[in-house]
Amino acid sequence: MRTTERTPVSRHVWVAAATAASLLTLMLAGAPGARAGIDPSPFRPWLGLSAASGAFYAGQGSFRSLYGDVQAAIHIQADVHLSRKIFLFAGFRTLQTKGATAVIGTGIADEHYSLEFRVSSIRAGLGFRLPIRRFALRLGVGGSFNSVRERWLDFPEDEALKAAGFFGNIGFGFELGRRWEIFSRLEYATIPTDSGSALQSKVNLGGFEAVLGLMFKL
Amino acid sequence: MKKAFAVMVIILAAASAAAAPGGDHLIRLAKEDAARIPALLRTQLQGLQELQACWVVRVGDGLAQALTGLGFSFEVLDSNPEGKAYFLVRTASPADAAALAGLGEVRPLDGSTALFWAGATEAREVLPETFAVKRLHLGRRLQVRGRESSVPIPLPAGRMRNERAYADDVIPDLVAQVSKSKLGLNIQDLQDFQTRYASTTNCESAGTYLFDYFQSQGLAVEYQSFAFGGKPYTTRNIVATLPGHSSPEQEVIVCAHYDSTSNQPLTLAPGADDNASGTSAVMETARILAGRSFDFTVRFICFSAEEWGLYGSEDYASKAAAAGVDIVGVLNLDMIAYAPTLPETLDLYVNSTSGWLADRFRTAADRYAPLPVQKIVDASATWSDHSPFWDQGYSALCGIEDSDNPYYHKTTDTFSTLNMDFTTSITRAVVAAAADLAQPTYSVPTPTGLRAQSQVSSSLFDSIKTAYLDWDAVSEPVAGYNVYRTTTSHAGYQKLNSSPLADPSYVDRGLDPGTTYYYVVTAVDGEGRESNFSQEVKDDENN
Repeated sequence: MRTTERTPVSRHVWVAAATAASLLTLMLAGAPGARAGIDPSPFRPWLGLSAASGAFYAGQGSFRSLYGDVQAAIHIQADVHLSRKIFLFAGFRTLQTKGATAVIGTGIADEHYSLEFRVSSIRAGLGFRLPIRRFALRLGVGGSFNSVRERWLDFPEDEALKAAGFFGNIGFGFELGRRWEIFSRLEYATIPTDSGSALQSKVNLGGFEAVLGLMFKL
Repeated sequence: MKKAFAVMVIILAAASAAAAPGGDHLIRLAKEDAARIPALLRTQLQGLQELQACWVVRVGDGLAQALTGLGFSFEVLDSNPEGKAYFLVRTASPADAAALAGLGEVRPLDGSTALFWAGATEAREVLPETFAVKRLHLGRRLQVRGRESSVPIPLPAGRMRNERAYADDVIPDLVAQVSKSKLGLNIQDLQDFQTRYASTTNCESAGTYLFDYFQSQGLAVEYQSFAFGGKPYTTRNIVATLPGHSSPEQEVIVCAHYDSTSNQPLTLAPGADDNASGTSAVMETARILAGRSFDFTVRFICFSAEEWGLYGSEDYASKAAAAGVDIVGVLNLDMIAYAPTLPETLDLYVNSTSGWLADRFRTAADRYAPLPVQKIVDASATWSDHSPFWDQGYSALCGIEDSDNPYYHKTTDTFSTLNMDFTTSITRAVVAAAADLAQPTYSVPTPTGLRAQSQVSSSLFDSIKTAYLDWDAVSEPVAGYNVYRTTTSHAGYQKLNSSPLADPSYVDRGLDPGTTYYYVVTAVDGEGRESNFSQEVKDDENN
């Protein structure tokens, strides 16, 4: 990853981490059970299945210049809650978009070629869930395995590659009933690759994503 | 990451050190070592001479230490070069090398080429006449490159141009005009000056003779005077010009040196083979082409002071480069008359970037004036007037007999030892090649004003280049235009359009951004006849 790209991303990560830590401290301090000294009821592991859509904002400007500032992503995820506060999760994310090439250097003609881009990710990680009445604070970190393809529609240029990445997120859920929970989270991901072009010597497909979804509890 | 950072710090420190004052060194840098030097440092190397396997480079103390510190190996040839006169000397045998050793300092460079100096003394004044020399100019700054890739870039299949009906009409007629007797008379005339040693008045008289000859052919002629040698002496190049019709800014040069030397240079240096023969071929080519019309300008040049170290051609080539003269190719002829038996082979010496010129010469010769030709790619062949053109990045070849002339640089190098049938066949090939390069003006007008610009379009993982071409519409009605492309300058053009283009513009998409492409265009008339190629342009002239 190039230093020039890394600087603003790192700042956002620190802000997000600090916010998360502050919220966590407040929640723990204000947890009803702890304040009343009441033992919680016995825990039974449960499974959550969720679907969500995300609004992705790429960390690298080169990606945004080709495909626009925000792209829609789809998430499907399963959470296995092993204790009241800890859960494991695994899921799938896909993002498909269309764009147009950028001109490098001084342009001679305003001529752009159409592009298609797709990244499909298998993700897994560890989460922390802190229930507060009908709300729940959720934190998560994990890794991803990503399959990437970029295709030029006018020329036989076609790049397909695989890349590993990492991500972290923070969000909250709201119980709609015994089985349903609506949730939202903000996520930061990094997906570095060794590939690039005249536009971007080393591409990182990470960025920020706001996610909104619905979970069904089993 | 840490390692990369450390290397960068060392390189930056080295780059700073390079700018620091200190003594200079001449070094021999092998090309494979040059290729490994980071570009940031390599651009600071002052290349003085490229040879086949190495460079002669001038470096300051700081840069030399930096290169050593980074683990790059080189050989120091000499230190504190200021005030010394260095020469590249061809040492044909170990005995030659041994003979040099007692006359001054000698450092082997590359194959049969050595660096020689004897303080500030001119090589010609201390070396036996048998040595061919080239002055190494310390002020020259050539860009040091690594070894070039020899892998050709494949082009998609395209249609080669094969309509040459008009050239086939014109060039055989030109070739047929080559006169063996006139070639012989020219050589005899030059020999009759007794000596053409560049520092003598006889050489000046020979120059005047050549000036008058070219003028009598109706060509515009000029002297190009320059100083040479330690005295300094003054001598003159003779430059005759046949202006081009459609693209006069593009020049084809046919040249030879007219000065001579021998073991009695001040009084008797007939130089019949070396190089009245080459000069005669230039004169005869000028006689035949004068009065004909070609798309490109043809210059007929007789250089002086070649035997002193290529001073005349160095002066001409460096001034042409400084003025941005667009030289298509240089045909240099040096010793083309000694052939004990026939058939005899004409050797064509080229460097890697001039290979196309030898191929083009051979093709023209095969088509119009067949003779055995051998192409030899050797950047170390620095011993004649093509070499300063190589130094300036121009394409040039040297045509020279294949046999060793036992009368070389002797008072016995006379007309009676020559094979004029050999000279005549070579001159025919030279006329054919020069006419082919300059392109006889055709009734279908050649497009002019071709311009090319390119831009790179990029996605995340791929980039392509697009070239935008436009040219001036020809003044006469034509059916359209054809566009040709190649990745090797002046060779292997392939047509891009399937039918003639109505407008004088073309966009070539989907190109590799890392490759340089060259373009020419032609006009096509209503009967399907195609004009000559326009001047060639590079796709990235805007970059």
